Amino acid sequence: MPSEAGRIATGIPGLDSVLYGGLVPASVYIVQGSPGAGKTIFSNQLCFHRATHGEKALYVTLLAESHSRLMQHLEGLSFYDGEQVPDSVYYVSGFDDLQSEGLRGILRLLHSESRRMGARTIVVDGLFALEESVASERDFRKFVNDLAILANLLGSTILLLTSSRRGATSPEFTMVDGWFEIGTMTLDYRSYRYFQVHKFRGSGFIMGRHMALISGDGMQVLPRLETVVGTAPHNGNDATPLATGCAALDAMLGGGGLPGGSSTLLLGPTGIGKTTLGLQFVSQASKAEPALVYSFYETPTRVLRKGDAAGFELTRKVESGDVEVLWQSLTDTLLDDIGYRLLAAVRRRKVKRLFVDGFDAFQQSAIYPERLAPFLAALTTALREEGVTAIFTSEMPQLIGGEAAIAFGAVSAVAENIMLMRYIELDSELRRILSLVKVRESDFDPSIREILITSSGLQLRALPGPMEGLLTGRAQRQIPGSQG
Amino acid sequence: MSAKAPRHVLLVEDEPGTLTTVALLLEMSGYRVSQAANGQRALAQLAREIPDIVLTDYMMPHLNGLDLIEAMRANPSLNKVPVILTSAALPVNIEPSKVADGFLTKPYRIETVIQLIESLIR
Repeated sequence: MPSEAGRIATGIPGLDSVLYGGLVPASVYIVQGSPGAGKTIFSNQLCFHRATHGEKALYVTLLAESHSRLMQHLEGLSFYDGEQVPDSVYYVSGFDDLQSEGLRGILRLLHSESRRMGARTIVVDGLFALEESVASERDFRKFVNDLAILANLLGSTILLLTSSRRGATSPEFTMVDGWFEIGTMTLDYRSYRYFQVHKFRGSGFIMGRHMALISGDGMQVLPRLETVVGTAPHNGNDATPLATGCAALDAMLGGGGLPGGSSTLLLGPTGIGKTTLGLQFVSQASKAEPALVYSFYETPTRVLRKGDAAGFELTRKVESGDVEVLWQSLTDTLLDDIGYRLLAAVRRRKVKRLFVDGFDAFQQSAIYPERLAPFLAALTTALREEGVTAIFTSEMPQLIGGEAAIAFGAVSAVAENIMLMRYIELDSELRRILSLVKVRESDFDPSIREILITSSGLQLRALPGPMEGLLTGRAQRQIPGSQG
Repeated sequence: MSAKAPRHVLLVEDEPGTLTTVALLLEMSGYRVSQAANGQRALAQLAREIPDIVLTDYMMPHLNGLDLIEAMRANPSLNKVPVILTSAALPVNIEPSKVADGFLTKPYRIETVIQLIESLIR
């Protein structure tokens, strides 16, 4: 991803990636969004971030609103630092200047106040108030042009906040250096906030909509993962295999275990042993191969209890620091949010063994299902670049049979290894079987094995003689001599 | 005792937004500013009133900044008036220090302009 020197870091996580390094200095930007979209948080977060770099910021409001109320709302946000006000972040009303002298009064105010305090960032909150005060479009166009000149003359970056819905052909949008939109959209019953750069002179940027979040830490932009990471295919199996903890499975995989740096999809119905196998893989963690369990449906306490009950001593491994268990709620979670959190947790501990329990969470969080394949390709690429060997579980709806419903979907394109776990009915008993569908660059064993859940975890054994009808779920022993 | 008269700057610039905005900022900094949209209009103004300093753009229609300076230097009543030349670019064979008393690359900051004006009219 290109990045350029001399940019202004915004302090809004994710945004500088979208802008290839930050704002271009001495430029004028419009920040457009309906009331409540987050323009005020966005601009104040930028001001306070610049203050942490020793710079000064001037915040000019054009409506008859109270600055104390504004600051009261900001106080709950972690970026707000009351000690920076008024020396580094200075709030002033331009209402009277606009009323008495019009646009020229605002130009005077911006110059005098920013020069007095040496402001490098100027926010003008309420551009639509300026639009309303001008006699003609021509006057407004001239004012915006004058602002651009003023930004250059002062060496300051000017942000114009507006809730106006005027479009791309309006003069202010054609004349400014950048145009950012903070929008909201509602799909079914869920609402989402997004950030979009429509224009950014002097630099490239990542086009399109990026989801955005507002929390107690302010605004965060989530650049679409596939636009940041890329989706380079694997170019050779040069990493050491990682043992799964099940010797028979390692042998089926071609010896040694899962190909190093690969992603595996573990498919099967509920209760079949997917989580057990994933935790078994995690239990092989060491100081050299730290592991992470990333769970969507079970809390860390439940995961540890399950791992300990299966004989993997997970609690002890968590205490020693070899394993970490994280849980992420799926309530209104965004796809990119999951991706960035997961990657951050991987990078923080240099994780080499990853078990993501609940691939379905990605599907649930994808607002646009067509994004799932490129997103997963980017995620698995990023994991591979970090040297992570990952297992993802995915639940099949059918408890038994229903082979036609095995739809690997988007993930099959990026899962280098696929393992299928199924129930079969044999001799009036429900048994579990495992087969390998594909393994990256490996001469794997395609035979079907029976799964045994033992006190030391998941084990495999050969089926009791030749069978047929296994994939229908209703297995039958082959009668000797009935084939061929 | 009367207050000291403000220094007089003739600002020559063909881009109207820059002309009015720089003029505004200079006025707010205590200068009296006359404005001219090109070198030809500047010469007409110089015939009526001689400023303390001229701040001129280079690339302008009718009479550019270099031609304006040349005309001023040829006029005995104007050849002592300090001139600041501004431009985003100059011809490669032009050495700014040989043609003007000061030179500023565009875009410039207003503080830099004021510092240069003060150093030349002190």
